[in-house]
Amino acid sequence: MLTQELQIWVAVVGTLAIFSFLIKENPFYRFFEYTVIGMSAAHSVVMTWDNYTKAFWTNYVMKGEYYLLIPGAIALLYYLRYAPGKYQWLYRYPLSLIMGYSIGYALAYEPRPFMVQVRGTFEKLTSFNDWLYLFVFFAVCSYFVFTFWNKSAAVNKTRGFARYAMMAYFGVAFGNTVQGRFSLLLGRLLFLLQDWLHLVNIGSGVG
Amino acid sequence: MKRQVPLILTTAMAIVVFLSVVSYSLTELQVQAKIDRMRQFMTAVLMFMGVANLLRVHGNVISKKERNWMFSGWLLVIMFVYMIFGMAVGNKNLTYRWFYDAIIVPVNGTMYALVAFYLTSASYKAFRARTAEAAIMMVCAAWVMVSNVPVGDFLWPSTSALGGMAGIRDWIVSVPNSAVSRAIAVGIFLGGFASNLRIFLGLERRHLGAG
Amino acid sequence: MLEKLNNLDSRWMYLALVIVLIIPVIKPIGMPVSVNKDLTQRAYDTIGALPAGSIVMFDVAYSASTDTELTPMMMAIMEQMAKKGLKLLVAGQWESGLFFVKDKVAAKAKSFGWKYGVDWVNIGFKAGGISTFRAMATDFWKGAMGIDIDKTPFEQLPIMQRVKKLDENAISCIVIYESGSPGMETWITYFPKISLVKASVAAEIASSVRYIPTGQLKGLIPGMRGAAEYEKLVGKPGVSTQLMDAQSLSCLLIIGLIVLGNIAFFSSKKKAGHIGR
Repeated sequence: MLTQELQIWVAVVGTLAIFSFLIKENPFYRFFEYTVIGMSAAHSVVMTWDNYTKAFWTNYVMKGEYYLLIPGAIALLYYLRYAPGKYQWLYRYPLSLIMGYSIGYALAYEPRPFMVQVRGTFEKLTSFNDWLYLFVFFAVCSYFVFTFWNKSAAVNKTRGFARYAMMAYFGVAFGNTVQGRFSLLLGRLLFLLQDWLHLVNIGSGVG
Repeated sequence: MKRQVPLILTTAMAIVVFLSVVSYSLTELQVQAKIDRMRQFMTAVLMFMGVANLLRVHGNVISKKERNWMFSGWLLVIMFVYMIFGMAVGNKNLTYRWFYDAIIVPVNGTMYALVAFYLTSASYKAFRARTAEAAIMMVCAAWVMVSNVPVGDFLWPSTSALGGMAGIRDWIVSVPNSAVSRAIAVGIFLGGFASNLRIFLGLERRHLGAG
Repeated sequence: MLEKLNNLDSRWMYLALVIVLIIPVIKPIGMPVSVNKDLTQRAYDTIGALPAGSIVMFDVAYSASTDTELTPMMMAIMEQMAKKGLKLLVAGQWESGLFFVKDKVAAKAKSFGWKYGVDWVNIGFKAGGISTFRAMATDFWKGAMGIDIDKTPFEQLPIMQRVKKLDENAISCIVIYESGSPGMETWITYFPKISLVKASVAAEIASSVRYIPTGQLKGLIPGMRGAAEYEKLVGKPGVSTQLMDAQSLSCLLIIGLIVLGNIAFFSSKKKAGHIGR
């Protein structure tokens, strides 16, 4: 009953429903928007349950790692975030542990890639491009960091230069983003032309 | 109890995790591995958070009969049906997979693809070279776009002077673009690090919410 | 005329975009693609330099929406790996990505004659983010729950005997297919010793390029263009190569619209200036 043909038709209807938003917002679009939000949330739970939680529980917790029940019980308190006001504050306990964990790792690990980046800016200052790189780097840093030194003519001129450099960055980002989005649109058009209307036969990326 | 203990817990946990990474003796005792394991299990327990949040938000909409409340009801129904079905039969089940490929894949993809249309109309209506900065941005964007496609190689091949369009694009990307990106990343890192330190020292309490 | 240009309905532009994209897909032009020496070539050389038998780990950090950009890259890299005799371990930081590429990767591996569990393995999505990957760094089997995507225990998969810890001794190179967060930062921050190649969506190129000079990224494959370049390098033009013509025309359309929009704007400004006088 659930054939490939029917699947393609359902996918086509969903695709066209989302595209209909370009003309005007409508209930057709909204129906599929809400459907995909609900299904995506459900899918996330199913994947976590199937590949992670179930295996964790049966292969490890129930086979000797009983100490894990303590953080598990603390984690359950997080759901009280959605409880009535009287018990809501209890969610702060697991939150504080999770925050502390993230902060500990951030303080221990995150400076390193940042220092590598800063060091890389000063390495091998042999060509014009290297010096220009260094100057642009400092100019943009001065734009963001030295926001209070706005009376200095030198800093203001440097900031002006930094603005031009940033515009080059935003231009590159915009140009690449445009092409990226066109790629996504091409994917959907390819689905409609190939899988639905059979007007082309390019392939799906599998050799 | 309600605020002080969580603040102390945050700092204590951060210290323990930090020391478990940098301290040789704690590394020998594999403290980091145990902490990672406990954090992993907390994630396993918290797998319903997304669902709970959607239930709260859309439950509110339904109870107050706000705009699109019927769609919110449909969202909750489809979410629970798909979730229970998936948890019961597993994600390898062909029917589960059928619905995933029929609805989530195309609709998700199309939502992102819509942005291409808005970029097109924004390019026409909003992209104005009013100032020198805007003009630079426009020129760089156009250059990168054309040089990234075969037309750019056709107009000014990479084998000719200055490496062609691709050569100049590579210069723009590897010098000003990369330098700006690095400087912005440094700024973001410093801000994030400062924020982490503030929470670590108990100076920042907003993450605990009101009350 | 100026009035019409300034008030041009967006839906005409949408129609123009669709036409400009569809025509070259149906009737390809076949413009050649040149390879970016700083980005794609580096990625190709990094993977090509690995000794036969090395394990390459794929991190599938994207969802179905960026399938068109990233999956062709994955197929092209697998082609290269097959030629070089490399082994594959597929993992993922995102739950959605692995689910829909699973069959494509399996079909591709089958076409090479790869044996599951010996030449390649798919361990599936493991929730937990950084804590899970950190756990895998000390004990891979325990951190990954000891099962693959089909719940086969690692004990039954010979290739997993070589991966007891997630470090540079077990994994020679990580290729991350990324369209957002969490992504490359996980590997750069917590696993800096493992070679990292990023297969990126076009939108992230501007912010990722800075990692190349410092060696934190060994190569970067930029968007659909990068996929087409990689297909050229492995000698198997595929979907991306055939869609580059559509990309070409759509870029020209955007530039045309920018120019037209500015002409309309400045002309009306000039006219308003004349009327004002």
